[in-house]
Amino acid sequence: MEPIRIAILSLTHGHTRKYYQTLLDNKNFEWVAVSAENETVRENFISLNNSIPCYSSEEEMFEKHPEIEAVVMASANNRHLEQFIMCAERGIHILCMKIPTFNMEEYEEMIALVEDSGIVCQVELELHYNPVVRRLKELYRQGAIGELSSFNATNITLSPVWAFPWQGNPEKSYGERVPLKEGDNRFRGGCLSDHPHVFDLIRWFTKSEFETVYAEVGPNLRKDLEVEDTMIVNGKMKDGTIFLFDPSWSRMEERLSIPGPGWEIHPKRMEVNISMRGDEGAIMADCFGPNVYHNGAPNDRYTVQYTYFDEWIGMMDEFVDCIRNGNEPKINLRWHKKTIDVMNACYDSISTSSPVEL
Amino acid sequence: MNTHTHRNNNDLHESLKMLFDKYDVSLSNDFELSGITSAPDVMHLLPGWKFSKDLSDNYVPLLPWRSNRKFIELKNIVETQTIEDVALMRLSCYSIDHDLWPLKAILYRELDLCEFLSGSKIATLNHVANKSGECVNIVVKLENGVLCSIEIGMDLTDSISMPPLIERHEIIGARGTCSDLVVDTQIPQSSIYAFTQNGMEIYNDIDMELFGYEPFEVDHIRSAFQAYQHPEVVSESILQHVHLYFLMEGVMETLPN
Repeated sequence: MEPIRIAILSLTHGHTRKYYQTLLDNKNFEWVAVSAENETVRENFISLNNSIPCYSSEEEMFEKHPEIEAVVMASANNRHLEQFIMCAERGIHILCMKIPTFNMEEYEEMIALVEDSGIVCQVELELHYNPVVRRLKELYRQGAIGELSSFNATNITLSPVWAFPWQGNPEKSYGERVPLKEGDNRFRGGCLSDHPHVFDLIRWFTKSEFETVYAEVGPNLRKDLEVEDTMIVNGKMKDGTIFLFDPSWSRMEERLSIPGPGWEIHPKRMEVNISMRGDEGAIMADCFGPNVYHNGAPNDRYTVQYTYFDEWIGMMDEFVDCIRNGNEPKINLRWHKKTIDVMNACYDSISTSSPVEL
Repeated sequence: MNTHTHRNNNDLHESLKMLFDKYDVSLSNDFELSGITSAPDVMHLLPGWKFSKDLSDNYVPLLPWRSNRKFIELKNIVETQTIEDVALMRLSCYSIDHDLWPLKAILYRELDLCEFLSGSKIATLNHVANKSGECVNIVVKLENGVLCSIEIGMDLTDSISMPPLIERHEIIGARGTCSDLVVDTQIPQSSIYAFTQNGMEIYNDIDMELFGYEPFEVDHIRSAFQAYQHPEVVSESILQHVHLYFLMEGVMETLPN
């Protein structure tokens, strides 16, 4: 199979670095170039001492590398539509970060761009390629706990805003400046906008859609943020499964501009735990554990040192298969739309202090 | 996966071939992962403890635990001086599945891990055993001065709600400690606990490319893959095998049958 000539756009998404090794290891990719969102990002990339050409604009990169067939769209959410247009015009396939856009008119425009141009667009929801999630899904499908009645999950992390400032900027994260609710000086675009995974997983597991959702924000742990950083979501699926989700940025962090050792203050900087109850049993899962632990440098704090993070391998294998063999990505824009819908419904629920019917 | 089911050897063989194909690693001859055969041109890629001291040309004694990510990370923590001035190591390993992990396998593994994690060779070794020979306590002094205790036991009863090995690998420095066991616990955690009509079952899936294998099987396939991908590790593992066999035999010879 001829390797796919691929580039990374912007380099400002928190997951960007996950792709570096995957693109180098996977023989089905030839990593051609990157474009940096700004000079600081460019300097940081160049400091890694690799030989990948780094450009200051997407146009220049595409002009100099007409061989580019696909991109990882590792940019702020508010840049996605513009980059979708550039890629669709050139017939370039897209691996899009987890929030294509919260604006549903823009979302429809993206679907049209992809379908009219015939390009592949896969949305990055890497938990589909996590071995614990796969086991959990198999157990559920095999009937280990009978009929599912409850699916509770955390998707809690530290806040990435100090290293990836767009995630704390309502316009860049949510797409516009929308107050959370009357009398609250915060805006949409914080922790919820960073954490779609559990909303996606419950749909994938149950094959059902959301019926009602109720969301509340708590006081911010980081008083200087203008987006939300704590939230709890309650609700019910159309098949009767109830759920409770915590998508908060409730793990405190050092305010590093480049993520590195010592980033976390809470020992475990990222947790996705799932608890499923059925009429014949229950399952509890930690999608990122167990690991190893230390209290050494740089801050002498008890710290979880993660031992596996290879979701990107399977995800990129699927991307290759879709491009070369003409298959539809499991997480395509149409599938993902209802996940974005319910996240918007969570914000609407906060705004109205009421449950929202979907 | 469920810690008391594992895949057959044909599966292991096919999965290793899948990795060779995926990552463009060429094979000069066929290989065997399950046992020793008389076929002359077949490379035998088995955990080192399954071989005798003297190796044939087509025997590759693997050290599969060195491919386990938790041990790789513990070693990284030491090597990168995340913890500094290591003085003490506390290792323990109790076998629940005695067929899978007999005493000599655990001895071989833990003695190797002691050297792998510390980056130093064993200089002196003292051991005592109980009357049945099922429990062995070892004190090791490493060439770099680090002191290490190793507790080994074959006396735990089988249980589907436990992994086949109950183990702890703790490294203690003047600045910081690291461990594969979370603080304030005595037994390893699992990624999934299923409370079903079968009782409690645990699952530990760690590798999506090799999904469905037990962690020790993943380690076996990964280390066999590495032996082909980086042939230079083979000569090192042969030397280490001779060294470990000498140490292991020294302990085993003193134990009651």
